[in-house]
Amino acid sequence: MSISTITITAQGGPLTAIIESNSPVAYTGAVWRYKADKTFDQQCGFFRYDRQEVQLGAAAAAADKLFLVKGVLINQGASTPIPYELQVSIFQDGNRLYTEVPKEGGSGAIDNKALAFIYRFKLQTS
Amino acid sequence: MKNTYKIYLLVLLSSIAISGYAQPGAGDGAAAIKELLTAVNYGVPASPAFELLPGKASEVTHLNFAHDIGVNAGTFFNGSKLQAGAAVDLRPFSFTGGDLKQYQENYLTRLAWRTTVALGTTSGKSGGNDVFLGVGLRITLIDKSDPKNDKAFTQKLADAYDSVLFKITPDLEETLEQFQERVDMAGKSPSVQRIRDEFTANTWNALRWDVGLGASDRAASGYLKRDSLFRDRIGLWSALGLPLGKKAQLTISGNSAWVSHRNDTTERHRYVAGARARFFLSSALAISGEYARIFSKYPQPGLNERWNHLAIVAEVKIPKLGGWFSFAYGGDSAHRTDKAAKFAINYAVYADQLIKK
Repeated sequence: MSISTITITAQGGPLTAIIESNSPVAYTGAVWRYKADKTFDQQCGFFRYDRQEVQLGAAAAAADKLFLVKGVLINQGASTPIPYELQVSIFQDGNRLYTEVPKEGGSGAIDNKALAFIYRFKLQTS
Repeated sequence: MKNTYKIYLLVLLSSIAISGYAQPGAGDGAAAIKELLTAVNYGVPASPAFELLPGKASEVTHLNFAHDIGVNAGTFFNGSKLQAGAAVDLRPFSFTGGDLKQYQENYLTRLAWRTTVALGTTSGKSGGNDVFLGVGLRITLIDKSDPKNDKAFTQKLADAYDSVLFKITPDLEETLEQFQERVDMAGKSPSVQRIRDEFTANTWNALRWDVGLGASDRAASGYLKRDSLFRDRIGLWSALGLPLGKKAQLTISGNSAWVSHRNDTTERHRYVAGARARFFLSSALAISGEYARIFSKYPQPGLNERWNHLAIVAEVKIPKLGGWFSFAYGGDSAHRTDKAAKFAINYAVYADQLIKK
């Protein structure tokens, strides 16, 4: 289980995650927040190919928390596979802090089967 | 009274079918009807590149990323010579990017993603060292049945996956494989299947226009040099599918093939123009009607010929006969290279429906 660590500013504004794709594939998913001891905290929200932003909360509330991004790329009858690459970006006060392609299912090609992807990250204050 | 008629009809159909099987040659009724329905291709080949090659291209490798091209280039060559048995396809404009939102809003993005290029090699039919290289392009200019371009369908599908997968609090440590298993299950769920089935039922005959272009070259002894490379064939295809209400589809198509000059008595050009209408009146009754005109040109004008192709086929599902009873009329009109060709009646009973959506 890989967890990326992203440094945020403790005094900064609210945080958001944006999940984007570089190709025309439909995807949907959700982001959940966990406490440092890995117990469930709250659901942050849903994202979709046309609604890519999810609020992660205020810096103070999000610091030292773990976040789980889970989604599915939906197959839509492609005659030949469609290559895709997803990017998860973390923003604070509108500034991009970090961008990464999820190592688990974040890139590949989709044809006639829906594909899962997972991304986990931890926010820590500088 | 009505039941009596049904019994008579069933006995009549059974006797026709049985006598059909019993007559010499009539046992091939199903094969003849299948041949009648497939003699003229009213679509654009999935890979025009491979349509013009003398042999079948091997399994096609899909090139999804730029680095795949470099990796697969080696399969086309054996040293400095072209090697038979390689086949790849790719979406050449996928590097232009564009997410699904852009795809749904911009025609050029859709056009770019719907364009595929294929490349393949085979050896000649009669053996030898020559290698045939085929390259082709296929573009879908209009596709009202494109699921990616249907916002409502995409949203419904996403909603269905959401409700199955994301309404519960997930295990933080669930692996990708475990999650993929749940995604696979969600794909088979009745809610997802129903949405997909409805979409297929509503769009099977939607407006669609495909074009294809292909060319093949013969590389003497496999050498890719100017003095060893000879143009062999060029092909052009166009197919326009139009809805006729909800239960029928009309396809208007044309194709042209040019063959390199071998001698004055071999065919040089062939043009085919035709139309086919298919009616699915119920789950137990389908009718297909088609007409095509074929023009064949030779270097010697005296050898030129043209003929008509006609096929009218009606299929009725009769469970008591174990499948489909089919009645067909059609064939090719007589022409110089097939003076015995004629329109004929065929009938048969077979298990699997031949007229398909």
